[in-house]
Amino acid sequence: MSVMIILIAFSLLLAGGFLIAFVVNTKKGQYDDVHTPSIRMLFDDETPNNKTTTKN
Amino acid sequence: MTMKSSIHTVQETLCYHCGEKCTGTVIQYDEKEFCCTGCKSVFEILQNNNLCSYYTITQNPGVSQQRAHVNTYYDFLDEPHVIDQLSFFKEGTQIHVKFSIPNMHCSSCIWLLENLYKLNPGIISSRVVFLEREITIVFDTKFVSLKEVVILLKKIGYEPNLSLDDLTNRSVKKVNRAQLYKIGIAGFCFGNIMMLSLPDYFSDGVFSKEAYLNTIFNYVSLGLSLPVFFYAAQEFFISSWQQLKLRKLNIDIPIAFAIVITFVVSIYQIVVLNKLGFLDSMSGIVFFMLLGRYFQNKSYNYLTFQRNFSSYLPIAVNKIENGKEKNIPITDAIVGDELIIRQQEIVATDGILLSTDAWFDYSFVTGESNWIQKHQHEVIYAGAIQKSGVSHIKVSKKPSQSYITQLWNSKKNPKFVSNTILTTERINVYFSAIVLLLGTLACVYWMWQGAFNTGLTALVTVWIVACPCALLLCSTFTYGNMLSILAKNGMYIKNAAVLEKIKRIDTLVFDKTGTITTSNESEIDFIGQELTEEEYNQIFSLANLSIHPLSKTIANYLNQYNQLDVQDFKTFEGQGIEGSIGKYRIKLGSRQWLGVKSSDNNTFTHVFVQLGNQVVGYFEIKNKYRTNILNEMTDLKSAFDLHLLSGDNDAEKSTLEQIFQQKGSLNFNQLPEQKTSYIKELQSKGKTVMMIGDGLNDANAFEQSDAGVAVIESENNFLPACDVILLARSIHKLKLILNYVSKVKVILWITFSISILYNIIGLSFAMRGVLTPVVAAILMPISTVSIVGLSYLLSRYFAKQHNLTT
Repeated sequence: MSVMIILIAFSLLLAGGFLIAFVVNTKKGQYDDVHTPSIRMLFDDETPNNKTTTKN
Repeated sequence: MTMKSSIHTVQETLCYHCGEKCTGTVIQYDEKEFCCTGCKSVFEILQNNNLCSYYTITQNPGVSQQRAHVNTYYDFLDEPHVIDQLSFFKEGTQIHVKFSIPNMHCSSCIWLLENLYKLNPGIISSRVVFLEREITIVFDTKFVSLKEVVILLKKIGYEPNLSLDDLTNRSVKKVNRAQLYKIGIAGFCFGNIMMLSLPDYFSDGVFSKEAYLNTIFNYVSLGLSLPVFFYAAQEFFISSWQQLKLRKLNIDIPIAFAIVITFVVSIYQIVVLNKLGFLDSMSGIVFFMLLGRYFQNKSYNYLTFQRNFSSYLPIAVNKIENGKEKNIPITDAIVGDELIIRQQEIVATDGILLSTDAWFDYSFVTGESNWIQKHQHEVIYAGAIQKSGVSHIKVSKKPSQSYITQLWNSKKNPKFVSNTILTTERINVYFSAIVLLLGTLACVYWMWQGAFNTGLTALVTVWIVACPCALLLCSTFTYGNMLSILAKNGMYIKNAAVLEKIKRIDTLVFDKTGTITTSNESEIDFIGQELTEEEYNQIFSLANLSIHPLSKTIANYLNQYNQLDVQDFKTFEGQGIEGSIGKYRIKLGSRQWLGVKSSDNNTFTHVFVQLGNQVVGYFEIKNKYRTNILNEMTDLKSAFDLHLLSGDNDAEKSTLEQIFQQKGSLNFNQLPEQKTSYIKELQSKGKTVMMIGDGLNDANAFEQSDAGVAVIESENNFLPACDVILLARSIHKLKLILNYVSKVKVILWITFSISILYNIIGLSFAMRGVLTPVVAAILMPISTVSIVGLSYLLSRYFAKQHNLTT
């Protein structure tokens, strides 16, 4: 059962990694606008007839 | 086969671009129909650039271009300091700007605005934040200028709202991020502490063979709880500390106490007793409360977004463009515009005086009742009321509707002192005190019974589950919702205290001229001597200086004449106006004022003209009554006492008797003082009086009445003396509106009761120790959001029931 210590340590490390990712991305502004991307996602890419565009 | 008859039915053609009905000429282009050349032009631009997907994403996505202004002055965007202020980032020749575009309303708008780069190669990219109605555009100054970008936006129908104080948005974002950090950290710690507490849930937490594991689990949990206690829970502690310093109580205090107690007891248990403690509860409380508050704030923001934008009074100003006067909404005025302000009109934006000296009344802004004389080139601040003739000013600062509304509200009026017992502060204090007491009582009881754990649970949950937020907020929100719904229906109320007064109105007093009659379509004729063109010029010049409905009617009638310079312009309330042109003293006024002998011909309103020393004739004005006024009066009569106080003669008494359907309480030839004393008399009989007038001759009567309603024809005439502004075109909704306002009591009762019910049920469970802290922490924000949402829905429900626009 003493292996629990190692398991817990690893799980904390992993979860901590996610926490850091969360904090860093919030700092970069990912959560400043949560509404518009949901609409933007549904736009079609241009058909070959028109000019092609890659806009993300 | 029947022949098609020559009368063809008119089909409703809808514009392909904006979806509105095509009244007037229908413009055909590319087998599609448009309501105006504006809409067609936008379509042309989109088609030439292969952007017609715009029309497939949403139906008729365009904004009607019919009412768009044709010439707008954008040259100021070429100035480097303006560009500097509007852009927030520069790199080489690239500039990033942010604009507010109120017109965007659907996904097509977003699509088009993010495809701007296709319309102009100089534009590199653009990105929209829909909820804020903002767009960020990156463009290259080598290929396109800021002015061209703005003109392009205008051409496709998305004119930006140019304001030089865009920098305030930035700070709001930082605050929201801090909240997210706290929630993230609290959630991380909470989840992991719960995981570490799992053994505790299942087998009383004792590892029989490896007891050291227990210690490790406990101390790791302790370590994880530190960031929660010292960082994430900060706002509760800070708020409580501030309140305690002021010797006041608020709802954060029981919550802070609960957190501290759980933490301290847990530390004691871990360190001394080597038991697990309650760290999962503590971190759970913090996490769920923070989460709840975050969603609460989002709901409030959503609900108040509409309220803020629509409740502001739609003030309009008269702009001079190419020598002609044009009426535009205040939000369209930009720096550099020349505005004309007449006597008694309000200066709606900061400006530089272009004409010669003029007198201004700043009492609205500063409370200073003496008028101030301003000289040419001096700055006139918004909120001043012009008191001498006519002034031209050049706009020097972007106008803000909210500023005027704030000024309107800031005048402390003793007649609206709230005398309810339940003020916000009192509720906070009493509620928090009761909660603290109940918690302590429950805890003591359980401890006395020997159940230590239950006692602690009861203490903590009682202190968390009770929530006065709904009690405090439901009146604010209900009033706010009502104000915004009323604003959509053409009635602008100063603030919530006025709403409370309106609930109790039982008597309506009407003014005649301008209120029941409309100056727009009166018939007018001049009867008297033959006058030369010069003399008509003089009369026109004088009449054009006043905003009284009769003057406006005369000015409209004579509008082909020229405006001359008028000196020494004076207004005599209820009687007339006078001014000097050259050597002549000209007067326009009532029969009594000019001393004309009364004749029998008393059928219509007469405005007499005196040039120099001689009365040369009079204008005969046949008043046109507003449409549906008879129906409106019939409706109103069933619920209120109706009175008429008119400064005019009783020529149309019989017509008015028909309209009011009564013979008594119709008074004519009233001077302003008489109107005020009439209202005083009604009030002494115990009536609550609403005065409905145009505010020009009734300022004192307005102050005297319990609620003064100014009926305004156009949005130019903003009168600070009134409590409510009613747009003339909405006067037929008066009964519906008054009925709707009386429902505010119902809404408040419902929301109050439900909020109290929540608290009683929650507390009864908590005191028995049956509620877990985590569940308590979730319940609190749920109750607040649901009650606020309920008040919003009820306001709209009642509005629909009364056929008001929502």
